[in-house]
Amino acid sequence: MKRSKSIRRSNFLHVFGVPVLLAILSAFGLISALLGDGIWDVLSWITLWVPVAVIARHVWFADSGKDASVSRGKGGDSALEK
Amino acid sequence: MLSAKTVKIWYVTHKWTSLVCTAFLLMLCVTGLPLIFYHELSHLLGDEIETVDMPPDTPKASLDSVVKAGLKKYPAEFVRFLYWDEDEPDLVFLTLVPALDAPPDVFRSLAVDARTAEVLAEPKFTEGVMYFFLKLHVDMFAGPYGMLFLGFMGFLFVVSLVSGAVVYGPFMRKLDFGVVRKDKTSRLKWLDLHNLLGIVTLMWALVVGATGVINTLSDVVLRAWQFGQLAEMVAPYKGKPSTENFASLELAVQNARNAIPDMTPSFIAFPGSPFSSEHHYAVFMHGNTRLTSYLLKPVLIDAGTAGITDSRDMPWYVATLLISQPLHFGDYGGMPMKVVWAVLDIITIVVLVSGLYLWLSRRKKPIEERIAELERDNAVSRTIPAGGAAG
Repeated sequence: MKRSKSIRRSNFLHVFGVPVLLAILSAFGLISALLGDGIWDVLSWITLWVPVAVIARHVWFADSGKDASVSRGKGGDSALEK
Repeated sequence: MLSAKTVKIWYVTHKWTSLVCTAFLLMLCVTGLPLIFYHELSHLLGDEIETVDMPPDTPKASLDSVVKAGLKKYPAEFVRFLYWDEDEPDLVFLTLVPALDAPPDVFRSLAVDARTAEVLAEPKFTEGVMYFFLKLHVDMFAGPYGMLFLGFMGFLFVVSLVSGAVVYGPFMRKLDFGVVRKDKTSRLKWLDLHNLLGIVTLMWALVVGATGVINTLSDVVLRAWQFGQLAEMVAPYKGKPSTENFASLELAVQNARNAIPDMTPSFIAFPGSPFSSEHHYAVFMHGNTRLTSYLLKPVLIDAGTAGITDSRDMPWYVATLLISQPLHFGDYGGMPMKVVWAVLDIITIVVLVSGLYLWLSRRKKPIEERIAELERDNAVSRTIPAGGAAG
């Protein structure tokens, strides 16, 4: 019983860990620029850009190395991808 | 974990709410993109009003002479509003109407030099390409019903975001976060992108979507305020004859400033306008800090004596509307925020289009088969053991 619970929790964290963290950062960024100027704006810019950076990393940079072995067999495509 | 039946309900919810709202959401995202840069673009398009350079400490002209200058140009018309624009400290704007009960879209705007009280321009806020985008975005040229309709589409969008986040769970159970399977089928690649882009931008999309819905209720909210708090405040004047001799507007505004020294006038509703009464100047003050600058507090000034009648904080539903506006527009954190707003808007377009593509490319298969297929696809590239939590 205890064991299956901890698996469930780790599954939840595995799937929703990063999304929840990003949601908290975004919410902070959306609110902070409302609260003040200066540092509050800068904190807002940084936290709002994080999701965009995460997308960029996964779409353009992450898989090229890991998938190299898979796509190597296809010839020219893999060279273009890198 | 959710049962298979629950997953199916959420999946169907995601599919149908998305399908119904996608076309309108695409329109909103596309027209919203230039609107993020409304201020910059209208300047680029030549709507900038030139003011003469004067020393920064040049005293402002009396508001009475500003009004006089406007009415001198259009003697048969009435002033409905006078307002300031924080980005244009040297200008005061007047809204003139042919009759006090003219419909809300029948008006002209005058830009008056705040220092010389000279009428500088008649800006056409209801013409041109930016107005076209704005109108499409706000009500599709269909008036209050168009606006409420778009509000309903926005509501469906919010439901599709929530249901999308729920079904993200079972779909991603056997995958690592952010995996994009580029070298499998095109459908699988776009499914991964749809999931990644959607879940990462979820909070932003929820906030912009929900505040957009709240903005579509602005007519309802303002009407509720008019017939609620405003009516209460002006109740003692009920039945009195209309004010004939108007007191100085400058004095009225000065009295409002003195009554609330930590706030600044934002706009004035003139006697007989919807946000005032026949007997009052309603001076709407806003705060001087970032947050309070979005909140308004009306000071009702007797138009005959320039004495204060009443002043109250706006009720929660108006405050909610006022705070929703910057959160929807993304205009409260300078240019870097506008740019990120635009990028997130484009990402939302990709999520919408990829969602549509995913539906088009598989619509003939029953849902059970599709879910099973997704689980099978995912199982192939699973990166952690499924554990005992399946089903």
